Amino acid sequence: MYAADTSTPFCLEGMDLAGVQDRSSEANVIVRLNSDTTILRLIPYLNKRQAAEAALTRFGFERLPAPGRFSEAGQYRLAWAGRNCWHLMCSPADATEEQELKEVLGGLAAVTNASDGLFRMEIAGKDAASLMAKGCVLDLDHFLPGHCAVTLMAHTRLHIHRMSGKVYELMMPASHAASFWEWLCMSAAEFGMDVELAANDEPASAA
Amino acid sequence: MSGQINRLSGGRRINPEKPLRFTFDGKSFVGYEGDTLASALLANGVTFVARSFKYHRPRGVFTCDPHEPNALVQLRNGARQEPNIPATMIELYDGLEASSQNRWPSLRFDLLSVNQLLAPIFVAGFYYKTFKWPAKFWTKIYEPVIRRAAGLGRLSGKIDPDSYEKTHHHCDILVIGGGVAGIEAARVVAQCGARVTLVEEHARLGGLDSAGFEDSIARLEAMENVRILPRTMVFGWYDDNTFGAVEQVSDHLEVPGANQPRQRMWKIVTKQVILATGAHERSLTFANNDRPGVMLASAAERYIREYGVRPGRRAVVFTAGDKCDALVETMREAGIELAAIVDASKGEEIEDVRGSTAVRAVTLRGPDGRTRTIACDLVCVSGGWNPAVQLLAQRGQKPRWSENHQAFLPQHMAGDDFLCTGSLAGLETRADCVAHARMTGALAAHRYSCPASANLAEFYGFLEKAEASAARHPFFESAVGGSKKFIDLQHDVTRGDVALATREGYRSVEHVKRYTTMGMATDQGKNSNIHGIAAMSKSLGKSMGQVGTTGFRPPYRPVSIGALAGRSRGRQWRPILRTPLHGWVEEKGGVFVESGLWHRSQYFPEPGETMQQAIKREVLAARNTVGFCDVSTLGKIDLQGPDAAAFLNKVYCNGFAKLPVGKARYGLMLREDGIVFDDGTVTRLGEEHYFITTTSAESDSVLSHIEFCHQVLWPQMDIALADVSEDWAGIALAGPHARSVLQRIAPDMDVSNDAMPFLAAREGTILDGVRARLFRISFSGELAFEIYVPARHGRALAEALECEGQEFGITPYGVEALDVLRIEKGHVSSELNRFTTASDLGLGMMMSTKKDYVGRTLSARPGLADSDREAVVGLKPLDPSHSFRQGAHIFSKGAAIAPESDDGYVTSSAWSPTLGSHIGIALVRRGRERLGEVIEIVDPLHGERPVPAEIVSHHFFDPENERVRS
Repeated sequence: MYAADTSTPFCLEGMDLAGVQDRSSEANVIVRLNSDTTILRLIPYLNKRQAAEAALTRFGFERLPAPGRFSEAGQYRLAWAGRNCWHLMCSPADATEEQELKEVLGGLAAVTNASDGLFRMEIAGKDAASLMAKGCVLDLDHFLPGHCAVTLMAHTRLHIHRMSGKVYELMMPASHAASFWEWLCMSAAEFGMDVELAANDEPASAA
Repeated sequence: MSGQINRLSGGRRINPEKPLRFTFDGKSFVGYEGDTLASALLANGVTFVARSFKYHRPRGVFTCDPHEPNALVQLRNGARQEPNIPATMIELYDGLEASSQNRWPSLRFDLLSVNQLLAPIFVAGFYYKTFKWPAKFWTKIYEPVIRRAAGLGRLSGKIDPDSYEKTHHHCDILVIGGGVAGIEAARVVAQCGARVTLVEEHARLGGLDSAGFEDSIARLEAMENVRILPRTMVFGWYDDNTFGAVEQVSDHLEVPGANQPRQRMWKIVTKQVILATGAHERSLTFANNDRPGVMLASAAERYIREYGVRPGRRAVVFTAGDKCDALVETMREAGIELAAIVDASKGEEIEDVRGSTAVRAVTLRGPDGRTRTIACDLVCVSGGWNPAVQLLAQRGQKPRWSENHQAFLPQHMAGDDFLCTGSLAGLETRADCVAHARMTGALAAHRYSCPASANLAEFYGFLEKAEASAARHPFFESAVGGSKKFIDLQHDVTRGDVALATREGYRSVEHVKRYTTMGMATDQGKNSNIHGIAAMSKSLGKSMGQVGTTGFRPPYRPVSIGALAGRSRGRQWRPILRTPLHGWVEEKGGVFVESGLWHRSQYFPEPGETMQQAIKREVLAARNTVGFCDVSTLGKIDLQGPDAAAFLNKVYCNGFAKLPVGKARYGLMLREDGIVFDDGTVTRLGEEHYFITTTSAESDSVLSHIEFCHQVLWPQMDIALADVSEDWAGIALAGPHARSVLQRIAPDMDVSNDAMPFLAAREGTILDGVRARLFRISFSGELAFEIYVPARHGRALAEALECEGQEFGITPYGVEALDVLRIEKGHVSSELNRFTTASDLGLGMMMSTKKDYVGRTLSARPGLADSDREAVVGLKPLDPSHSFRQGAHIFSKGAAIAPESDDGYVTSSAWSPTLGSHIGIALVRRGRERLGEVIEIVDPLHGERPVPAEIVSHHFFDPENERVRS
């Protein structure tokens, strides 16, 4: 009756999602918006990291990735997300994952659901790196597939995952999304930018 | 070539197939693609293009470079108008409009040239000597008049319609300078596969003379690992090999292309840098050396060779020993008559330059003292070369004086992460530059761990040999001639000004610079400093090395403010944070207010309502029926772990160890120094699971504080902290009918007073399956609940409340009404102002005496327990209609309005619709002892009349808390 509208990410409500197609040639940047992902934040308790790693085999992971790295297994991605913090991502979203992870990690790690707090978008295309460089201080040539970082872009603290050669995934606080979107549209204008609303996208894979 | 009376054929940069129309001072001209405005003006015979800064003397094009001191023009019209742009750097485009500046009413007839007659007054430091009294005249008369008379161009005063942006770039080797040395160094080092970036401030690579290097440039451009940034100026060298550069993306166009910025600022981070910044030719100091037609020799040569422009028809060359063979040959080929070469190394000097708006003749003095006058319209000056050491000097290198080169060279030609080459390193021939640049490129490649061979001994040996063989004649100024001899052309600083400064006791080059303003113009002394130093050397009897150079700081040359701001202007100057209900608030016509970075709903006006009327309606709805308010901005922290309760006990001053599961408690947090930090609520969701809320304003700092406590103070505590502020949308539902409305959206949860009494918390599902957290918490003083749902359901929750509450007259309210409600209730908020203690706030009883916590020790300092401290109280004006402002001061009745009798200040004020009176909260000295006392509220800042008011309890409404427990 009062269900949330899932056609547009709630944090971009009212924003122009048409992209920027002022150029005669095709867009060199493609932005894919995806709100259909479960993002679970897990924080191992003191001296419980190894046990937590062992428990995560249920999701296909043998260990928690090192700082600045993520790994993938099936529909899951496990990414370092800061000091003693990781994100377990599941795409498409699965409402049962939170409870399952809580059960698996009971007493080993705190689990919270960040699916709504983190807005996720994918930036791809020929000029993806050039667009990223306008806001990101990382050396993207050395930021390889499988790498991730917590950094600033356009005043916004966000998580960046390098998915493949020209595909980056960004996760930012939902409250910043609209402001970031305005910056993104302006910065991508010279490349041309197509926007795709991905309700159920295939998980991109790290090479 | 219609009208281009000085156009030659064969300019390397010129495309005669593409004529371009442009105007200067409203007059139409034609140039060619490849021209600069300077070259096009010269081609059209326009040699008088500007007036000088102070004396308004006629000036012409002096250089071919960005540091042009004379030919500064105003470019474009309207909002895109830009002042002080060197005509030498303006690439011609069709329709270009430029005008001269610093003249009135016209360039030829400039009334302000009367300043030339006042020259005896306008000497160095004349501000300080002349306009000293009466003192008040300075700001009202002297300064405005001086600024009007001495300014250069003007800004349009309109908003710049173009965009600017920033980008980041990383490379292994950064080569600064795209002359032959830079090209060759980049080409060699790039062969090792390193990521090489070559930055050149001109539109094309090649520097002074690119002839024969076309293949090298083409090969370089074809290399995939090389990035070439033309039209890009490196303006600063910062820590950790970070460089600032500005790319003039669209400055060469009338209007930027679709979606193109005008300029782009690059932050470049590199592992190594090769500096091939070249050298700037210098002038010589002689009488009237500023007349239009006096030009650097290299500039004249480049105008002829590169642009196909004849800068004059009959030339005199004045040199400090250079043979100027190339110039002589170039002029001969261009059909320019060489009237004389005046070689200072042979004792010849120019005594004077005749002419006003153009050179007509020069008077020469030979070694025998005899003079002769030669008719000419061009004086080419070559005083030697100044290596462009500015970037190195920004890193703290003091340039060293080389007697052989008669120039300041880099103190260190190489460091762990940089190498100098080309004419920056003192090399004077193209062959030397190329050979050393290749050596430098190989050395850089070696450093990059590639199979290339080079060593520093060879690198240094080459330079030492070149310096040993250099033998420049030490000549900077002509000793003869009586007219003005300009040192700084742009700021009209003369040889006499420097001499005066030294006579007045100035000894440091830095002081002379500031006293005379020498080197402080837009060219930043690139034309003038060396001559100022030479003049000081002579006046003080010191060597050039002893006088030394001034310091060089970023930027290397002027950078537009727009480039520094980038996208951070207008709405984008900082991020705007939106709550999950933002769209819904917009839809309801809510008015937003900036609260930190957040845009929060301020109030919801109905048609025809004023803000005050809307606030009153919203407050009364919450008091009498039911209202709801977006509280998503509150900080939210998830705390879990075996030591969670113990941790809370340490960070809050009140106890949490015994807080039962399913209960919330108000928490007060102190800083280490005992001052109140923040307040909020803590709810125990499970045995080892807590949900903490903080104020919106302090959410980040509270999180940082407790992370610090965990990571540094008590790392042994087994807890997990997560910032979940963004995960949840929050709505406060308040009013007598709050429970009824809540029950409708949460039919599966028992929210009765028995099941959910005051400070109870429950988790469950609402809205047909949406998980939710309900808290029986009240900030308004009413029966109230805070409802949290996953953020994406925030709008749905608001819609549901609006719909289900319709029967009860539900009303959304904004932060203004929220503030009124909390002031009526007497909850502290803005009173937590980083100066107040718990006791000041009336919360002293919350400070546990049974446990230790952050801030406990220092909260017992005598100063914080002083009975004379200000304490929180309420204020009620004797006349309820009398308003007063937050920030107004409290004085005892009849006390003098003076700081020493100040008794406190108002921290919150509002019109209370509930009480029908203005009310306020204040921090008043010994406030709690003074309940019932009538004081005066004084607001001298706003000049308002004192308001008599009674000190009362700040709990204006429902002091017994009956409503929150109902």
